[in-house]
Amino acid sequence: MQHIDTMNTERRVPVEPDFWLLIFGDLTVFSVMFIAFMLRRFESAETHTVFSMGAESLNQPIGLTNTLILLTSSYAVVLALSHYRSGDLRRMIRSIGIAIVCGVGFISLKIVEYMEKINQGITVTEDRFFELYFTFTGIHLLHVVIGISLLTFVAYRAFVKKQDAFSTPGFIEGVACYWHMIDLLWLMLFSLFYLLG
Amino acid sequence: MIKPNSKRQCSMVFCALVLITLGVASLTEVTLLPMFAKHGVLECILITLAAVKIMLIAEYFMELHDAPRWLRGTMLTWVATTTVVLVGIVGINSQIY
Repeated sequence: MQHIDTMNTERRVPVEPDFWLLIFGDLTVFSVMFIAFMLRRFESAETHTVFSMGAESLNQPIGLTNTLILLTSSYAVVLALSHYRSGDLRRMIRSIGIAIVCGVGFISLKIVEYMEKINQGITVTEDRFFELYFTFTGIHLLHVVIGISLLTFVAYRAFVKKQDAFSTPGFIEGVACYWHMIDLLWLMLFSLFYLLG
Repeated sequence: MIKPNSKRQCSMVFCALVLITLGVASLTEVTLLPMFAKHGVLECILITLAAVKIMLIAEYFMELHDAPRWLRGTMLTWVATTTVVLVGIVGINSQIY
């Protein structure tokens, strides 16, 4: 694989530089959301109580499991990229498969959690905490779905087209970075919604 | 060849991330620190630890430790700004509530 040889040990930008605009744009949007969450939490004594009670009513074991699942999937993507660089596409596909399974597991647990709340009569209109909870985690969930689609596309191309699947490593690195971004955003969401209560 | 993160290095980072996550989760379960929680210290610790995990992922999984300064700097600025603002809001308001 010729492109591997063209890489060097100089300081380099992982992924295409333009892609980082997308990443930082997304991160900035989430930053605003995190800050909005915190400001609302301390809006009044009443909202502070509502947020604390809301956090305590969330299913912490599911939140923790989902965090560990996403961390594992990120690690699998790191391994996939490493296998790609060493030219071992079979192992790369296997690692991406593990990441996809983790992603699907994350979505499944999130749906279980949503259903649990909906069955308790708690929806997005319940109070300010759950308004933000459903909105923020819903937006994050959408990112996970997009990430799984991208990972599936990478695995499919590698499986079908073998060595000619990708002319440059940029796309695979981009998908990997996108998946890691999903992971790091969840780490903050987990802290804010599940732990701060 | 590119200077990738070694698998060993990434495995260690992954283990560190898992341990911090489990540690943080158990920290909130244990009520040994009600005094800290009352003053928002525990909340600040939780946010800071989340930021540490985010930086570990950015540096080692996203391979920013070998990236140019502008890219590392931008990521560090994002993490630091978000963390400082969140901790600041907690710090100011935990005196009130």
